[in-house]
Amino acid sequence: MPYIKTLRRKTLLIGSAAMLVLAGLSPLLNVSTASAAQVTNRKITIGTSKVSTSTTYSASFNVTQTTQIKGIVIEFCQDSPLIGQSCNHTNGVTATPTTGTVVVTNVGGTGSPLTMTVNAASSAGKLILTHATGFTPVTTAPVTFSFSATNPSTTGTFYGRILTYTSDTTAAAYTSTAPGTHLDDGGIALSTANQLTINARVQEQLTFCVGTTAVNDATTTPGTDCTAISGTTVDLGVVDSSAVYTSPVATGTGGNNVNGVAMVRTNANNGATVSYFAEQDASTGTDKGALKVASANCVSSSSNVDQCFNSAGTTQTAFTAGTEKFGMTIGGTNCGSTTSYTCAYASNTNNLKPSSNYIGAAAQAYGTTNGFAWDDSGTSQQIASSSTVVDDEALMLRFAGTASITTPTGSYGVTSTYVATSTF
Amino acid sequence: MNAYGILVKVMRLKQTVSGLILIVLLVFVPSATATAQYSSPNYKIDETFIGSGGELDTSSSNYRARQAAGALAAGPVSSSNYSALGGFVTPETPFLELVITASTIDLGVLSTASASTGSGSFTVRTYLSSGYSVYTMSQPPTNESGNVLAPMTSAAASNPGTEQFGINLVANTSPATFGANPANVPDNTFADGTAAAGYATANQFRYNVGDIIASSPKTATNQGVGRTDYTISYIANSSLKTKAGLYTMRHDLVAVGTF
Repeated sequence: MPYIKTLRRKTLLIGSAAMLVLAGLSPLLNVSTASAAQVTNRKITIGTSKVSTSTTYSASFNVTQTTQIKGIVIEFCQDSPLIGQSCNHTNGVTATPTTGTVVVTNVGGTGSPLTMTVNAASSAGKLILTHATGFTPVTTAPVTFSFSATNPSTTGTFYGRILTYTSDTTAAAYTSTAPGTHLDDGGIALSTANQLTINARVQEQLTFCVGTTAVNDATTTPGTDCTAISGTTVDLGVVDSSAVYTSPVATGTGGNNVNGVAMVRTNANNGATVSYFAEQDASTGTDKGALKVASANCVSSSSNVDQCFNSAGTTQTAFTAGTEKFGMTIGGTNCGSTTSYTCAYASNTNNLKPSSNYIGAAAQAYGTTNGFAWDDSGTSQQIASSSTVVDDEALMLRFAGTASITTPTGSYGVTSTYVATSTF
Repeated sequence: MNAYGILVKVMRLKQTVSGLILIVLLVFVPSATATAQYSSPNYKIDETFIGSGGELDTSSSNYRARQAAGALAAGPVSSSNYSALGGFVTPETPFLELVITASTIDLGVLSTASASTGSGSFTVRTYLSSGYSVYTMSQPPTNESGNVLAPMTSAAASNPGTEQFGINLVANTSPATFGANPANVPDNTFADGTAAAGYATANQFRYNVGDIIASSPKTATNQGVGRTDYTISYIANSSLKTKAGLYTMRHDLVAVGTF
């Protein structure tokens, strides 16, 4: 009988020991429930933080498993990035694609880049990409893709939820609170914001001056700027029928060895124009703005016997010695004082350009071979213009005259006024 | 004797069978899993903790907090690839906030003789990120006719008389004393926002659309938690050929957090 008790007790002990061992092992024998891993290094870069603005959203994330991906869901929520929770779309992201395709790239992944379809189950703020065969990602490179969307209408934080699926039908069935079985997921925070406004003003500027200069080319500076320009008289000296006297006329022939000069500085967006008109003297008759003896009455614009040089007219013409004429041209645009941009008349890189009938010589040459013009009616005539800013470019005003053998003696003169106009 | 012997064998067999039955049941009965979630049709508790005490909503007129006492461990933990914030009142929701704290900066009338300067400010606050970057996305100041102040594409000093527009995010002494270094609130142990390369040198200014101008870089010890206050220093110079007009820039900043 004691043997039986012993046997029963042994059995009980063995059974208890077995129970304890198995209880300890039971967790290892349980089937655990599989759950989604997190996508890592996840971010969405938006093109602007301005509210209610359409921009590009660029998603990037690394997956943690190399299972084939046939569906990707991105949902934007105002309240939470947590997968499986309800999602508030009010005032949130809108205008995410609901049709079309999106190219998804995973460098090194099989099937990448892949053009995935924007599934019909997509809606504003919820983008569902599906593909029947999908791609097999690598974990060492991010999955990236971009799409357009409109930012939330309020400033502050908003969220994105990213999910990947091995089944395109399961992805298409995604809802906020029932995301379905998926591979990886993760939440992202984004933010809209107000904008800083920076203001600065550049004042409209026009500096224009007229004077005289001994410079007779397009490169030697006539003066650093208008503060260095002075003089009021260009003297052609003793003018007779033997030659055409063109400024600068040497002092040996009675001249003062200067040209006229008109310098312009402006920051006008649309540039400037330069015009002149001949002052009308108090005489009666015609040609009151001609090179003439003061108050002399001119017979006509072609007379060689009155005390009025015949003006060249509005059309440029070359002078012949002994055929009475007076006129002006622009020998060239002088860039000697220009510092803020490349300016060279010979290369046509000057901004201030002589106008038709006042271009001294052809092919950007400095000279007067094209002839001269002069309007003595007092009507304003444009002699130069620019379409953009001008930095101290100077028009070299070349005056010329020749007398006929019958031109009466006298001291001849004419006053002209120059006007610069900027268009801002 | 024979009858006794037979009785013993039967009992041993019974006991053995009983033990076997018990063992089998233990193998296939799922162990009770202790979970931290409790839910009913209308309510759910995500995390439970039995400790010394706590308060989920402690507040005064200026402050608000959640408290727990008795947790065995709380605070940041991290490795080279992962980071976490442990604790029973730590929120589980990542967060990123960009706030512009100064709205308008007027640089005045530009001159070719001296630079115009001004400062703006913004704040970035983040939680549970592994770093963020702040991008500048706007074109430089542009006038009514579409003319753009020339941006300083490489970091350089201010040069009056040369058309320039640039920024940095540090304190400067030239061309004026203005600007400030990034300030981590309340100190550098709570956040590590910094001016980005190209925008971090005093008296040197730069501007390229799309540049990163500030960041909280991802490091093993960076928990992506905290607030940084930034000051943007602006300079502008005009030249003789800078076209006239009112130049305006709506400075668009974008903060991108990596989680």
